[in-house]
This record gives sequence, C-alpha cells and structure tokens, in this order.
Amino acid sequence: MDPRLLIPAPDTIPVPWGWFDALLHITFVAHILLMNAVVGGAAIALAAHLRGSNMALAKDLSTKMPTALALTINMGVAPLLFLQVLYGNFVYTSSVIMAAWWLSVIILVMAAYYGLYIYDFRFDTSGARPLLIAVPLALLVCVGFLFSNNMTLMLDPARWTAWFDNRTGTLLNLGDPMLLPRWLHFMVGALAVGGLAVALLGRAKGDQDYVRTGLIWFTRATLAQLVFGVWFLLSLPDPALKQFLGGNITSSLLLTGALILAAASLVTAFRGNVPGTLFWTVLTVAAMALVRDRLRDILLSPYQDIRSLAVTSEYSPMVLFLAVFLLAIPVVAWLVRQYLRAVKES
Amino acid sequence: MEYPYWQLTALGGGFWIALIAVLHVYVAHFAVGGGLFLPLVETRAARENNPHMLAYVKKHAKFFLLLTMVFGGVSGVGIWFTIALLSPQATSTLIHVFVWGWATEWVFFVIEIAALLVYYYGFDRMDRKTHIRVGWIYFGAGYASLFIINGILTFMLDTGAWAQNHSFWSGFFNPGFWPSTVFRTVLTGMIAGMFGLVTATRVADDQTRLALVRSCAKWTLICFLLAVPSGWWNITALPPEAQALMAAKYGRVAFFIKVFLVAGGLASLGALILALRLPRAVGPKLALVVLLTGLVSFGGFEFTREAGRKPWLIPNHTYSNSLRPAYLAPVEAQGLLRTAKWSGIGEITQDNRLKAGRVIFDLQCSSCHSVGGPMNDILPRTAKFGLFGMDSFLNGVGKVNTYMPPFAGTLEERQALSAFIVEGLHGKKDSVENKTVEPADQPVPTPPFDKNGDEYVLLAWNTLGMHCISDSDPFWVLLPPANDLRAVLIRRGPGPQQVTEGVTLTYAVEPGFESPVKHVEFWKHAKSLFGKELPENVGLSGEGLSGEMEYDAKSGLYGADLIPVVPYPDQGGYNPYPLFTVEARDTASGKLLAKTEVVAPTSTEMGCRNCHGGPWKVDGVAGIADPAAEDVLKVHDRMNGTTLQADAKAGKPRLCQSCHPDPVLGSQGDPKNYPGLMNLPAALHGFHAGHLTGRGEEACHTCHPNRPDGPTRCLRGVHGTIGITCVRCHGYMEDHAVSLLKGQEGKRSAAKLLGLITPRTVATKDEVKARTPWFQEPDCLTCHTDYSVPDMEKANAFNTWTADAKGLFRMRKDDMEALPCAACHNSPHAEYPALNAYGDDRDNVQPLQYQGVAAPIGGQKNCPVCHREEKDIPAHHPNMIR
Repeated sequence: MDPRLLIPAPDTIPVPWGWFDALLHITFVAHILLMNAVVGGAAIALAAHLRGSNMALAKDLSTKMPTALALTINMGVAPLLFLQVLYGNFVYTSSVIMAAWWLSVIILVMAAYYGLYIYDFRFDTSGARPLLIAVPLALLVCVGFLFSNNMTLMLDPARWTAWFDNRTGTLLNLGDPMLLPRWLHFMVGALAVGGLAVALLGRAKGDQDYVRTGLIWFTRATLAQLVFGVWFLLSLPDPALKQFLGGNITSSLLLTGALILAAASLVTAFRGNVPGTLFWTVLTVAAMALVRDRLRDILLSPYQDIRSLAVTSEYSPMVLFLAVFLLAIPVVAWLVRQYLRAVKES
Repeated sequence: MEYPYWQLTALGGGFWIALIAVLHVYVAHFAVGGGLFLPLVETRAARENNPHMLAYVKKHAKFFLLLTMVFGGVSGVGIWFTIALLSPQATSTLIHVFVWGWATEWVFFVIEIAALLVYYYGFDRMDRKTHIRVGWIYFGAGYASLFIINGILTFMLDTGAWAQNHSFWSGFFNPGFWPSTVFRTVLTGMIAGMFGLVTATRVADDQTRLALVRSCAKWTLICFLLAVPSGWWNITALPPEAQALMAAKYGRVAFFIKVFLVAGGLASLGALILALRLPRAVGPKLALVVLLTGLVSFGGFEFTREAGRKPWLIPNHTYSNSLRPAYLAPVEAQGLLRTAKWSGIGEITQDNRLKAGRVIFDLQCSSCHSVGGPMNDILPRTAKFGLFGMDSFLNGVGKVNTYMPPFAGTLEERQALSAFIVEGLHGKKDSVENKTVEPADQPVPTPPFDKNGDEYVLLAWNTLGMHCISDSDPFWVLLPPANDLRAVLIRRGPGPQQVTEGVTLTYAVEPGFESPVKHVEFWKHAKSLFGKELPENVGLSGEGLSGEMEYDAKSGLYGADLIPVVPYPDQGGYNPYPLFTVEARDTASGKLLAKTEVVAPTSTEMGCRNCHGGPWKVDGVAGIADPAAEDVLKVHDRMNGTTLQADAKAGKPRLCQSCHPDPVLGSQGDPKNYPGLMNLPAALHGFHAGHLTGRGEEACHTCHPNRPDGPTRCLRGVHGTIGITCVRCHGYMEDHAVSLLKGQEGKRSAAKLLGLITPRTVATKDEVKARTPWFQEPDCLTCHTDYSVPDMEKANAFNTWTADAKGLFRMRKDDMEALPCAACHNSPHAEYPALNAYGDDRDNVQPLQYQGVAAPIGGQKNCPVCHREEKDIPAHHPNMIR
C-alpha cells in the first residue's frame, strides 16, 4: 500500500520552522555530547576494572557519571520536544509501532541511573565493581539501540505496514540495513567522546595519565569510525547515498565538512592538544548532527517538508521562553560558580 | 484515526498512564514541597544551632536527590512517553499548542537540576547562607515548573477562551488554572510533610527527632485541611457540564473524591499519631504507612481529575479515545474502518466480522477499557448483553450519560463491535436470543346462540386490547395484574335495548387460572408496592378471578376492574389469552339469559431482558426474571442516584409510579420528595429512544409483547393482520418519545432528552404535538375519514391525537350514543376479525357465536344479530353497511 496514506496529518506550529529546527539541532548536539561522555565514561571505567589498572580514574568517573547522566537526560528532553513539534506525526507513529520497547526505555534509564549511583556509593566497599558498572553500561547501550530503532523507523513509512500484522508494540526495525551501523557509529563515537571527557578531566586535575588514556581512547575510537562511519554511509538508502556522494551540493558539502572537522580533531588529539580536540570535536559532532538532520529530510522528502507546516504566528510564548532562558543563564552560572568556589576553598 | 494504536488487553484502558502518572506526580509534588521544606528546616537548624537537625537535612537532601531526580525526573519523561503512545493525537495537539510552555518549563528544570546538585554536593563545603540560598533557588525553579505544567493540565479540563481564539495565553490561564494552582500548592506541602516523616522518624537524637516529626505532621495536617476548601474551589471552577457529570453517580467522581478525603484524612491522622512520643522502632514503619496512605489519597485526586474530564482528553476538541467531534459525521457516513488510516480493514464480511469488531474496539474503546485487566474491564461491564442488547447499548452510548463519547461508526460497524464483544470476548456463540414460538392451536370455545330463539345478545370485551404485567414484583412493578372487562346485555328486537336492571352479570376465568398467587409474587410484595395488604387472588380494587360485574351508570356499562389474572396456567407454561365466561342471569329467578366467552389479554412478555440481560422467567418466552429486574434498578440507580436496588434487596420493592406520575394508574407521583419528575411513559420512552434509533416496529416489540414470532403477538386485530404495524398509528420510537416529552415541558430531564431525539414521521420536533399518555392517543378517524377504508399507502395516524380520554376509541360510543365502539368491534389491538396465536379465532368468539363470521358484530349485513331484521340505514356510524 502507498505509505503516504498512513502518515498522520501534522498539526500547526506557532512560529516558523526555523526556530524549532535550530533549537532542535543545538539541544541535540548538547545531548549527544553528554550521552557520549556518560556511555563512553562507563565503558572506560569498565575497561579499567577489566584490565585491573587505572582504579583512580574509575573512581573519579564513578562520582561524576550520575551527574552526567542527569544532564544527559535533561538535555534529551529538549530535542525530543522540538522533534515532536516538527516531526511528531512520524515519531509518534514509529513510537507506537514499537510501543512496548519504547516505554521500556524509561525503566532502563531509571535502572541505569540508580545503577550509576550504586556504583558511585559502593565503589570503595563493593567486591563486584565491574558488574556494578557493566550493568548500567549495558542498559544504556540498549537504550541507544532502542533509540536508533525509533529514529530509523520514523524515517521509513514503507516499513510501517508491519504494524498491520503485529499491533502489540513488540516490533523493532531490525530489517533496516541502516539500523546496526548507525547504532554502532553512535556507540563508537561515545567511546571517543568518553575518552575526550577523560582527557578533559585530566587536564583540569593536571593528571597526565588521564590525558594520555583519554586521548588514546579518542584517537582509536575515531579511527575505528572509518569502518563504522563508512558502513553507516553505505547502508543508507540510494537516494540519500547518492546525495551525500556528490549528487547534491549541500549534502556533499555537509558530509565533507564534517569529515574534515573530524580529521582536524584527530590531528589535535595526536598532538596531545586537549582544548583543541574539544573544539574540533564539538564542531564535528555539530556538523555530523547537521548531516543526520539532512539525512532525515532526504528520507522524509517524499512524504513531508517541514518548511510547509502551517504557522499560526503566535510569537509571545516564544518570547517568554527566550526571556526565561536568558534569565536562567546568570542563575545557573552563579550556582556553578558558588560550587566551584566552595570546592576550591575546601 | 490518524495514528496506529498499541494493542493492549489486560494492561489496556489507560493502565500505563495511571501507574506512571500517579507515581510520578506524587514524587513531583514532593519535589516541590520538599524544595520548600529543605531550606526552611536548614534555616531552622542553623538558627537553633542544632547539628542533629543539620545532619538530618543533609540526609533528607540525599533521599530527596535520589528520589526526585532519578525516579521523579525519569518518570516525568515516562509520562510524556506514555501519553504519546496512548494518544498521539491529543499529545500532538498539546505539544503544538504549548511547546513554548514546555520549553520554558525545561529551562526551570535545568535550574532545578543545577541547584539540587549544587545543594547536595556542596552541602558541607559552602557557607550556610549561600547554601540556603541555593535551596531557595531550587524551590523557586521547582515551583515555577509546577506552575507551568499546571496550565497545561488544567487546559485539559477546561480550554477556556482558547476554543474560540486559539491563544496560548487563553488556554494556559483557563478558568481552572488559579484554583488548581492553589490546590496543588497546598498538596505539595502535604506531600512534603509525609515524605519528611519517612526520614524524620529515623533521626537518632530524640529531641531533634520529635521536633522534626512534629513539624512534618503539622505540614501534613494543615495542608490537608487547606486542601479540602481549595479542592472544592477547583470543582466549582469547572465548566457546568463537567460539574454536572461529576455530581452524577455515573460520573464515578464521588467515589474518587471519597478516596481522596478518607485516605488523606487517615494519612493526616497517622501524622498526628507520629507527633506523639512514640517508641523509636514504631516511627519509621508508621511513617511508611502514612506515605502509602498519602499515595492512595493522591491517587484519588488523580482519578477524580481524570474522571471529571470525561469524555474528553481536550474538552470539545478530542475525546478520551482520541476521536474528534468533527470526525463523527464523516465516520458515521463512511465508517470508522474506512476513515481511520490505521484500520487495515476495508469491507466487513462474515469472515472478518470479529476481526473488524476487534479493530473497532481497539480504535475507540480500548483507550479506557481493558480486557480482563484492572482498568474499567470491559468484560464484567458487558457480561449481561446479548448481541441485540450490546448493539442497543452502543446505539445510545454517550447521549444521556456523557461520561463516554458517542459510538463512532456505521450500523454495520456497531454490530461488528457487538459481535466482537458478545461472541469474541464472552464466547456467547450463536446467541439466538429469542426463540421462535410456534402458534398453538387451542380449541376455540363455541358458546351457543339460537338466532331465532334467543332473546338476548351478551357482548363482552377487554378495554385495552392487551394488559401487560410486570411480574418483577420482588424488585419493582410498573403494571400489576389488573385486567378490565366490560359487557353489555342487549334485548334483541327491531328496537334493541340495553338491559341495565334486573339482571346480574358474572364473570369467571377458565380453569387453571384461578390462583395467580401460585405463579407470581405480587401478593407477597403488595404492601411494599401499593401500600395495601391484599387477600390472595384479589386485585387492587377488590375483584377476584370470578365474581359479579358492577353496573356503572355513567358509562352505562357493566364491568369488572383490575381482575388480577396472570398468563400462567396451573398446568405450566405461558398463555396470555385466558378466557373468561361471562353470564347474564335474571336477578330474581336466576334464569340464564345469555352467556359468552371473552379473552382477557394479559402478557408478561415485557422485554427488559433483551438489554438488561438474563433469561426469560417462564418457559424461555415470557416473564421478567430476577437478573433483568435487578439490572433495571441498578441502571436506574446509576443514572439517577437512587437506591432502588438496595431497597428491593432489603425487601422493599417500589411501584415505579410511586415517584413517577402516570395516568394509567391515576398516580400523581411523589411531588413532595421528587418534584418535577416526568410521567412514566415519557421517562421510559424518552430515555430508551436513544438506544433504539433507526428501527421500525422492532423497537416497539423490544419491550412490548408483539414480537411477530413470539409468544403473544398482541397486535392481532384487523390492522395487524393486514400488515399495519404499531408505527403507523403511534409513530416510530423517536416520534413516540418526542410526543411524550413535549407534553412534559419543564419537568426534570425532559428538555435534555428531547434534545437528543430526532423525529422521523414529521420533519421537525416543532411539528410534533405534545400528548398526555394513555389519554391522548391516535384517533381512528384520522385514517378512517368518514369511517371509510383508508388509503393503505398514505394513511398515517401519528401526530393527530384525541383531545382527551373521552375521545379514545375504547371510551367512545357510536353516533347514537347507544353502544361503545368496542362492543361491536372489540378492543383496540384486537379488532374483529382478529388472529390469535393460541387458536386463530380465540378473540373472535362472539362474532362467530352470534353471526357465524369473524367480522364486527352486525358487520357484513348481520344487523339481525341485534335488530332481528335487515337494516339499510347506517345509523350507528356512516359507511357501516358494506
């Protein structure tokens, strides 16, 4: 059947699409960077236990991961909100199709979050530390897998017809060749950014071991992305692949740009330049997010263009949001400053 | 409609949102109230220089962090996930209307998280004053997020002016917003107190522990006491329809409010007890009990809110099942299955009927009804229905009782859904609900008549043509055993005369029917039902199954009233046409002057069980059995807030007309206790019309004993035999109901019911003329203009009523005022020649007796029956000589 017949009608948006698209992008990048730091950090801590080395690093990570996850979750709320505004009719549909799995994300995240606290509070006393970090890590990796399922399923209305044979919410998107490489690409990216986080921690503490360990993780994982990234690229449906490989100027430039930024981050990493690596990595992730965004638009172009969503032009609530956001910045800054000052003085 | 659905059975009906939302919101209110609690107690600890109290604050802060950040935060996202899964449609509307509200709330979350992390991790590292200030920032951000989400939640109860102007601000600051803000603020305090008790009862230092526990108890109690009036303010701020629904018993709200009050009261009581000097071991356990009791109370509040919102998710915009009012008309025209994007079914066929029904159930029922689960389980709620009852229920759902949305779909889809529920879920296979009854062929009596020799003609008839009985006496009575017979004795001759003196007319029922007390419980409950003790087998006006007929000078007729004959012969079974022998004797000599037999039609084939469930009481064909009788009361109680079911179970069944006026029993109802009630016919037909729309005479014989293959077939006179049905005289069910309701203007619910019905025989409700039941009925002469044969195609007697009871066919006499119409033509519904299901000519005894042909007495030029000579002048009425 024609998948277009299945696509639910979208609702109106209060202001032009660009506002939401920009906010979606910015908050998504923040979320992904934080997620990478937690997942990568957890993997690095686990590796430390398995190798029996770097216990200090593991301990350090254990105290920081719960907070990092809190921020990850918080920064995940925002892009999810804006995603629903622009693509709600697609993502609600894919969510319902995999409803039972999707809802389980809540329990998995909660368990991982409590698991990280347990790892933190019991670090010094537990004899089962590898398990205590392996479980939250596994849970978060599963969450990532479920997210990849939903994010790919929402882009492929042709696959939605599977629902007619199974309406119980237990479907996944396993038949999509994009799913596995996409998920692995994100997970391997997490290893890289986790390593970067470790390196940053080392720089803040003045610990060269951390820096070295972190940058090794970063460079090796980023090099591995040559495999996973290419696999991901080649798994794209033809129309998208063609665009990225030169068929469309914007798409090709975005991808090429992102790759160049990635290369730059590798260069700084090999040189041991932590701030530089941070700089280029953030740009790389931001660029890659734009590529991901572009991919989404290409795959949804037969069905919907967010530029054509009807706009009701009610700006005042957005003004409220921006005002509150601007007022929040000095408040959060003050809070962080008070804490840092207190830590320094104690 | 637009979206696919998550097919759930036991865990359907909103289970996931109920679970996640109640837990989250309990903890979320704690997050706000606790956010006030922490800096206040820390301030007190610092002021009193109490290290124990300070240690407590730190411990409580850790508890607070682990509970509100992890469970509270993630479960909040959980709500969001869940609503998008259970109603993507409504979620999309809310997201697109309130995106900036949620975005703003998110900014406050960022501040909250930052503040709480700094508060916890910086506890012993910062100076006290700064630390407390961090706590206040946390509280401010937390309260702001409550403030914002409250706007969106109250929008779901009352969209305010948004319905017209679609403005974010109108929707946010809707009429329910401020009352709800106050109420929720107060609740945060109460919940903070209860959670505080959990940690406070564990403090080691006795004095500190007592001080803290007392403080928490104070928070709990005072805030609960404030919650009651602010909760009341909440309710009164709701739109009138929502308030009306909440006040009605079927709105279920009263129960949940009770849960909130009782559990909240108990929790407060528990908190008070904790404020006493209790042994240290008891405190923490009791605190947990208080906390859980508080959760139950809070659940009561949440369920109250959800119930009060029915049938909507977004009032007047999106129903609870995600359908929209705007879709109802196209769905009714083309069908739900074809309009919904995600149905997967095109045509309904015999093969896919149950599957189609399943899809229809999933699309519009499963959002509130689980199958075999804890949420509004559909199974017990539909257990009583057969296919017809289920379909009729769906026909009327959402009309009078607006707790549910109306059914959306074609007639075929409604039937497929009924089949799914009745056959698919309940496994009632091949539910042949009413069996075909073969006509009996009992011998027709042939009383003697010598047309040459006999001096008298005795004519007898029943008044109404059928007298129904509701033999549900242990539960209620609508019509008791009470048959009326009339008779005239005519001295034959060129100038026939009615004999009204010197004669004694008697009546006696045929053998087997003399002792109705053996077959019905009427006499057992007569005191409760009618307020009088009756001797067995004696009717309400003192008549028995045999006796003397009284002469009534006003009408000029002999008669016996309220004869308590029932259709249950001693030999078993059901016979609604018991024969009575009527004799006329010379009073002085006792000589028998004339004798005949007449049917006293009396049926208990009242079809309540067709929808109210259960079997027929007698022989599988007639009688109101207990399950149906009780269910009638159960539904009445639920719809009207009465206690009839309990009263009946306690041995006090009631007569319906003890509250409802009704001309048939001469009842004025109970104007003192129940003023303004509609008369019973208007109430019954007005209410049930919504459940029986679009039908022909099947609507009538759902309840009245005229099923064409049934055991009574009461419309058996000449009209019935030529194919004219109830509808031609009385109108379709909808018409019938409208005519009755219009006569009840100003009575309770009359306008509401009238608004729900559309007449069919005439174009508009305005055209329908009001009528008083039993007194204003169709007039024969509407069709039989000038007493002629009507146009079979066009004749329709609906909407022209007799002016009063005197104009009724059964009350009128001929043009000479000599004889009642019924004396020669028989009673309405059994006009000669009648066809009886218990012997073709069972109703035609007298025409056959006196003239050898089943026609009106004297018809087909049989004037000699009374006149002893031919006549050629139509003196009784025009066009009579044919």
